[in-house]
Amino acid sequence: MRTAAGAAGFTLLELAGLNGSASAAPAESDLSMLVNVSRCSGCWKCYQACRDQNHLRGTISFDPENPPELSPDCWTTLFPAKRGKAWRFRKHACLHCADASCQQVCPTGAITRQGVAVVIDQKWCAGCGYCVQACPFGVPHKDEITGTARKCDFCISLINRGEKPACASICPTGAIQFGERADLTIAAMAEVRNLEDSGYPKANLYGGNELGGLHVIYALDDAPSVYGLPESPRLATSNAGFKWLSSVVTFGIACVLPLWLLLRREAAAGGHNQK
Amino acid sequence: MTWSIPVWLDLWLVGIAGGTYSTAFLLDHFGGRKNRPLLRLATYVGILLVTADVFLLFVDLGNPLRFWHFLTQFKALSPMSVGTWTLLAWVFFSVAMAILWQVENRSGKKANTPLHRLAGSLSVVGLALAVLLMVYGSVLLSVSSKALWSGQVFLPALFTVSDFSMGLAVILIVISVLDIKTTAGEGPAVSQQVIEWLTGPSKLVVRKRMVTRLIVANVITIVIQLAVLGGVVVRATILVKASASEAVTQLAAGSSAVPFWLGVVLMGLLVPLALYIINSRRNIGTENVRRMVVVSSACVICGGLLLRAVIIVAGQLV
Repeated sequence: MRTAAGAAGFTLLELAGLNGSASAAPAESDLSMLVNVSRCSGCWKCYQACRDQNHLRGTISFDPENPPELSPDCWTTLFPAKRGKAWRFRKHACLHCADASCQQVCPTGAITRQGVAVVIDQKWCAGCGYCVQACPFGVPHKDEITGTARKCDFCISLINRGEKPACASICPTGAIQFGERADLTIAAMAEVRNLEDSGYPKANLYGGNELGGLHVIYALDDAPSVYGLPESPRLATSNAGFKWLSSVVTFGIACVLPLWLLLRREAAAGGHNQK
Repeated sequence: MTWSIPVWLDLWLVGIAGGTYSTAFLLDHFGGRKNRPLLRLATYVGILLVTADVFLLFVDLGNPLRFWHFLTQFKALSPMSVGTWTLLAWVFFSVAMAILWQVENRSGKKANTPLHRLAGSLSVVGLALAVLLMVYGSVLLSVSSKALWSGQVFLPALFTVSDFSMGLAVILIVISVLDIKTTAGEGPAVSQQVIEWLTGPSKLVVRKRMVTRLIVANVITIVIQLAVLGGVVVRATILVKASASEAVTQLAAGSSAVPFWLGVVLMGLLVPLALYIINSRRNIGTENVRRMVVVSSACVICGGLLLRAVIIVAGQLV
């Protein structure tokens, strides 16, 4: 339990904005992406389109039991989940959080928000790897060749030209949709209700409220963990101020206090002589 | 693995630097300002360690020539940004202190001169920077999404106490190694020509009783570390989410188990604990006991490195 002083300090840190609580909720008019897992056929065309659009290296494994993981050269993949005898897939890439942990911890300011996209400036990133550790979805990866962190940029160049990201454009089943957040949310809620009516009681919408709202939302037919998503993702910088404070308080209580208690008699007796 | 050996060494070196300076400052402060030579030595140790650390961080970057990008902004929410600025501030501070002290050396033994008072005031700034050096590593890890690092409220406490313990160990080694001869009753007189240049006009004299109390202080910090480590394991096992439990399992029973149990717990905590306790009851002035104190303290410092290594490795496996 926090002491009154600790609580006061915590409040001060909150006021100073050092506790990094999620606050930048996406607007209803924001462009967003909806991924509907029940419509995904696992064709991997999103992967190929992403690779071509972003000139990524590497080849694809179509084996659902051994899918490619996100890496500096794989910005979009499919997360497989076995449903009975069949496979279901969740397209996995950057979720472009409204309040992005990677952006908050980046010490050089190389990670910025450009519209709805969270983008790593390859000419500014120094390659410290902190974004890799901070992302709750394990998205950015450090490229040993370029020395920078790399990830999906939401095809920002296409969006700026009024087009859709490559994965959304190519998806043949409509599992990946791109448009205004309000419209996509309505579509996702309808899909979740359909799934519930079809015998999927755990169907849910993911990304509506998580981390204050993500720019990629999912209509899932099961719990997020089944699809490799954290149930309650947290902003890496949440409680950062409290962590600083608790460390300093620990120093006071566990280090300074015992030493003071041990040495006070010594000081009183003039025990430390200096010749 | 994104963070490897350079990051272990980073957290270790800054921890020792911060711990050593803060220990020396507290010894000086609580000892009636009579341990200034020790504070000077600790500052020089800090200069060496932090400079080596900045070099390590530089070479560990994917693009080392972009290090200056860190200096284009200060981000309070990014512990890495805060840490970078703290390291630089420490380098400037400690070099300024070293210059100040060398000037003071030339002016002789006079106390209460403006220069002496300025050095005294600046040393308080040094304490603030030293504490930041000590705590930034653990906050760096805990401000992340890795279950082992961010899901443990005890981790910052563990690293902070470990840093202080390593600082105490360095001071004990310095005192013991620099001890040339034992003066019966008055304690060992620590003086050498080279050391005199570093410590200033006052010779460093440490009474046996103070060495014993430093040993007891380190016994306390080791016991706290053992309790906190126990807390980490129990909390991860019982209370928090599955991923954190998995991470602690990695630490205690997975690929990191051998360095964790043999290196961190046995060599870094239990062995020095036993040696410290045994030797604190013996005549601290004898050569043999001094050697044992050095060995125990070296174990604490090596254990500190392994603690950081296994936590960083295990944290990235889950």
